[in-house]
Amino acid sequence: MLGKAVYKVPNGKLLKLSLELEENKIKSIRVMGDFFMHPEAGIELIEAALVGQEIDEKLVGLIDNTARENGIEMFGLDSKAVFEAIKIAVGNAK
Amino acid sequence: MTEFRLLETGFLDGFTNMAIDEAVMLGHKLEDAPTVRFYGWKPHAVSIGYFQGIGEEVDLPRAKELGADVVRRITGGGAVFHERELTYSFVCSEASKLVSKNIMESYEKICGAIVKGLDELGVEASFAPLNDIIVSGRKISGSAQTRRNGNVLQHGTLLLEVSVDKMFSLLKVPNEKMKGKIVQDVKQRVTSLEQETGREYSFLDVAEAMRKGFEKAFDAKVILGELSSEEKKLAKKIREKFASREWNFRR
Repeated sequence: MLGKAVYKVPNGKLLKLSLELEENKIKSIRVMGDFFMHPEAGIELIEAALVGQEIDEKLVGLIDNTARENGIEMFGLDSKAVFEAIKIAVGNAK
Repeated sequence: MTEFRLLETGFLDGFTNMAIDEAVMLGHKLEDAPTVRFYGWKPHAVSIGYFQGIGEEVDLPRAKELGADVVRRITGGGAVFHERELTYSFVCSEASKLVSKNIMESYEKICGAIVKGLDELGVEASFAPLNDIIVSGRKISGSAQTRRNGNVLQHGTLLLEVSVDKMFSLLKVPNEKMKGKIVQDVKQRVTSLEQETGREYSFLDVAEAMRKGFEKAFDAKVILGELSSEEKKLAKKIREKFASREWNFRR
């Protein structure tokens, strides 16, 4: 199943997310938008960490840990916003 | 007084413009003079942020029809239609302490040069976090920053004139049904030098004002220089990436 979401991060940027679900797990995911992340390549690490995961509140901590471990800073985006967008995309998935 | 190198590279295609910014950043050494560059775009172009989906943001058939380059930046932020604007870039070493390690603070410092440049033109502007400059509450300039190899690159636009309708003939909106309202909102939120002053400006006059803005903001002498042969060589190589489908369609 494929799902998309457009989510305005509160006090942040516009997040556009698309994902592929397989047996309720994330098979692939793209986190897109006009936010900032330093270093930029951090986005691939976060996306890779989300692959294989079930849709659960724990994803917020997973994103935060990935960011902390890799020294990733986000502006106009945070882990909660990514999770919100994931939930919307899952709701839209077909 | 610190000396900065000024590059005036004129109007170039989008791939070359992005390649020069990256080459200057990658080639920069602590002992080199920091670089200020002013440039324009020919043909007009759309640049998208590092994290944006090209298909999500740009009406690609329309861009082709209008002869606009579409290029993905190495910096985050949003899609920009580059037409009547002055684009600036600034490169320095993180170790030079010219800008803070703190990204928010460094945006403010570098954008401060543009604010001071606008002041030279009699336009009262202010920095609006994270990455905008506003005049009478409306955005006139947006910037984006990245850091690689211990160097800082910040580039951004300063709108000389803006056609929001043309911009949205190329840029997509998240909800096509709401397009009319979104375009109206953007018209309310965006302004340009010409809109603010009722005057027409030449690119070079604005560039000179911004050069002075950098001198004031950094207490530096900004002196005209040129790209080194190494930088030119590197830019030529990097241009291939920016012109490639692999890079532009990676998201």
